[in-house]
Amino acid sequence: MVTKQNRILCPICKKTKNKPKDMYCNKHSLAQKSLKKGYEDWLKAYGIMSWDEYIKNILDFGDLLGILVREVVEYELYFKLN
Amino acid sequence: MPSKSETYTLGIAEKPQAAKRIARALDEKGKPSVKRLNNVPVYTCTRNEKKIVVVPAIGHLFTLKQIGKTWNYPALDYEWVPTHTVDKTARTKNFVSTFSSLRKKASNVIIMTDYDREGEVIGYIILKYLLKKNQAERMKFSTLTRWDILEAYDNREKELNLGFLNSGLIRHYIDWLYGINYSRALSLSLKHVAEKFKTISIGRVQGPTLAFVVEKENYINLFVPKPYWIIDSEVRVNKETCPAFYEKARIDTKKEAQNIVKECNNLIGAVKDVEENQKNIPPRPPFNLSDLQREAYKHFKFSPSKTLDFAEVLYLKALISYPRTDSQKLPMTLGHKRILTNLTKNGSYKTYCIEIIERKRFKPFEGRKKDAAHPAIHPTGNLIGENLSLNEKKLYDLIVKRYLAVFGERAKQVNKNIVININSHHFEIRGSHIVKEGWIKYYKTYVSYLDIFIPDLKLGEKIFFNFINEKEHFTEPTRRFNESTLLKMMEDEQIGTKATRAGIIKTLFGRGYVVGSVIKPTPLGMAVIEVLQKHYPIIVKPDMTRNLELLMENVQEEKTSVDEAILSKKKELKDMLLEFHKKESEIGIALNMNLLTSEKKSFINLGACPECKVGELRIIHSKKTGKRFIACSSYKNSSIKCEVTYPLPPYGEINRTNKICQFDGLPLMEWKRGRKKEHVCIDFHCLSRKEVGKNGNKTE
Ligand SMILES: [Zn+2]
Repeated sequence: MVTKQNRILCPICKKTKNKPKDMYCNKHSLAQKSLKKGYEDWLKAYGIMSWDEYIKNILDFGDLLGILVREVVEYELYFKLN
Repeated sequence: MPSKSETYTLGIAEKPQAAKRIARALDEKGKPSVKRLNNVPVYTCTRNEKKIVVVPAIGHLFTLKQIGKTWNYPALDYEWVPTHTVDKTARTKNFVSTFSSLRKKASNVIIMTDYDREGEVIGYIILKYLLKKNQAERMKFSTLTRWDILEAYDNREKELNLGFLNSGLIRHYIDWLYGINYSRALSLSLKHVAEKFKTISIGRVQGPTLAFVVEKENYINLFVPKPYWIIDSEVRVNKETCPAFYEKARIDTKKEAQNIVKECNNLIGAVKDVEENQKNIPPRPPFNLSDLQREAYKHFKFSPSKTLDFAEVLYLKALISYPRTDSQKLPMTLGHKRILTNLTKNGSYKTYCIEIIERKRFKPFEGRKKDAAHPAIHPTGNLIGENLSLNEKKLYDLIVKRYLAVFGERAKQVNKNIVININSHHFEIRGSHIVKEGWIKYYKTYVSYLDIFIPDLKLGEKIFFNFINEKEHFTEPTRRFNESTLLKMMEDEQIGTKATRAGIIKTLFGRGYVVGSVIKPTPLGMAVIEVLQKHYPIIVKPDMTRNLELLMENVQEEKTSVDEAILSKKKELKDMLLEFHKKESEIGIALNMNLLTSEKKSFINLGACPECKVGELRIIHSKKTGKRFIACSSYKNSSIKCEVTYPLPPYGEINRTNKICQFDGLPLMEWKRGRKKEHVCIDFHCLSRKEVGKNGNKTE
C-alpha cells in the first residue's frame, strides 16, 4: 500500500527523502549510485558479467562491501522476491 | 618555613615533583627544608644569603566561568574563578589556600612553571589572583636537571613572556567561547523541539576532527570492491629464486592480463638493462613531540596521549628534556659531550656512547622544524632509577637511541635493479643492500631496511622464469584512522597544537563520539556530524579553526593585541550564533531524528535474557575501552538490575539469528568476518564453540 508516509520516507532507513520522487534517502541514493558504478567497473574488467552474477559476487565480500551498499542490495533482492 | 618577620622570594612551580627538583637545585646545600601547608609541600631554600620559597601548583588552579546565570546563548562574558569552586572533584583547593597564605611576606615572585603558553598562564593567574601582583621574574629551562635550573635562575628574565602569556590567555578565551556556545546552541535546539535534555558538546577543534572520522566512514560505507589483476612471476638467478615485478603494477581488465601471460609463455627473457646506484641515508631527525608520538605508536602501540603522559613522567624525573616541543634542533650549547659521557654510565648505551665520543664529532644531524622555547626531545644524561614502569623504560630507550643516532654517520645503501625483456614485456628484479651501517647501528631496534642481494648479471644474459601468472585482486576501502594517523591528519590540517591534539582525541572517546583502536564513529558521532554538515557546516570544517590558530599565533608574535582579537572574535561568534538561532528548530528536528535512529542502531537485540527472562541481550560498546560485549537491558531497571554479560570477539559483524543453541539453549548469533559467516552460541565457553574451532563453519 502506498501511503503518504511511504512517499516521503526512505524504505530502508525510514529517514526523510530529499524529494518524494527519489527512491531512497540521500545516503542510500548515493549507495545505489555506487552500486551501479561498481557494475560498470566489473563489466569492463571481466568483459562479460550479468547483474545477478555481480550482485552474488559482491555480497561475498563481507565487511569490505560498504554497509549502505549492502543494505540497498539486500532491500532490492527482497523487494524482487516478494 | 621562613621565620615570621622575614620576607622571601616566592617561586611558583607547575607541579609538586617539579617544585622538589627546583628547590633541591636552588638550595646551596642541596637540602631545602620542606613543610606541609594545607598538605601541600612547601620548600624553603637558601641561595646567596637569600630565602627562596618554592611552592607547587597542580597544573591550572583557575578556570573560566560565565558571568551571570542564564543558560542560554550567546554567552560572551567570563571571569577566572578557582577551579574547586565550580568542579567539586578538583583537588586544587589546598593549593589555592597555600598560595594565598604565603602572599603577604613575598617580596618578589619568580615564575618557575614549564616554559610555554600553558606554564605562563598558570603562573600569571596565580600571580594576579592569589598573590595580587602584576609582575614577576621568569625562569626558563628545558630540563629539570640541576645545571639547567641553576642557569635558568642566574639568567632569569626580569618579566613574564608576554607573547606566550597573551597567546595562552586568548587560547583559553576562544576555546571557552566556542565550546560553551556551540554546546549550548546544540543542546537547546534539541530541547526546544523534542522537550528532552541531552548535552551535546562539541569544541572548535573536536568538530572538524570528528568530521574527519565520519567522512572516512561515509566513504567506507559506500565502497564497492573493484577487480584488478597483477602479474605474478618468479625468476631463477644462479640457483636462487626471486620475485620479478611486471612494468604495470595493476592491470584493469582480465583480458589484458591474460594476453600478457600468453605473450610471455615461453618463460625465457634476457637482461635488457642493469641500473645500480648508491644512496646515502641520513639519520632520522631528533624527536619533536609529534614524531615521538608517531614512533611510539608504531613500535609500542602507545596512544599519543599515553606517550605524552609517559614523557611527562620522564621529564619530571629529569631524565629527558621538555616534551611539548615542535623542534627538531639540538643546539651545541646543550653540551652533547657531557650528555653522552653521562650516558656511558648506563650499560646498555655504553659502547655506542664511547664510539661517538671517540669520533669527536658532536654536531648532531637536525631536522627543519623549530620551536621558540625548547630544543628537540633528548636525554639529560641522568641515570635512570629503578622506579620507572616498563612502558616508561621503553619510551626512554626509544628517545636515547634516537638521540645517539643523530651523531651517527650517514648509512650507505646500494640499490640494483635489473630489467628483463620477454617478448617486449618488461619485468624488474629489485635488490638493495646496506653496505655501511652508520647511524642505523644505534637505532637498529627501531629501523629496518630491506636486504635483498642480487648477483651480477650481464646485458643480454638469458633469464629463466619459474612462472608468469595473472592473479585476480580486489580494491579495498581506505583504512580507518588510528590515534596516530588521526593526530597526523590534525597536524596536516593545522588544527589544534602539539600540546592539545592528543587530548582532543581522548575527549572524542570520552564523549562517546568514537570507539575502537581502529577508530570508528559511533551512531551518536555520525548523527551529530551529519546534522552539522548539512545545516551548519562552519563548525565542522577545518577552515575556521585553522584561522583561529593563525590569529593566536599572531597574538604570540605581538602582531595583534588580545583585547582587539577577542573583541573581533566575539562579534564574529555572535553573528554566527544569530545564524544558528534562525535555523535552530530545523537543526533541532534533524538532530532529534538522527539521535533516535542512532539510539536504535546502537542496540542490536540478540534475544531474550536467559537469567532474568525480562530484558533483552544487547551489544554494548564500552565508552572507556571501545570494547564490545553482550549485556542485559534490565541492568538499568533498578528493581531487576540483571548483571548478565558475555564477552564478544573484538572484530567481525554480529547479528541476530532468532535461533537457539542446541547445547545450552542460549541464543545463537551470526558472526561475519570478511567472507566467512557462521552461527555461534553467544557463550564463549559453550561446547558448541569448541566444535566450531575444530570443524570450521557449523552453519552457513
Ligand atoms: Zn535510507
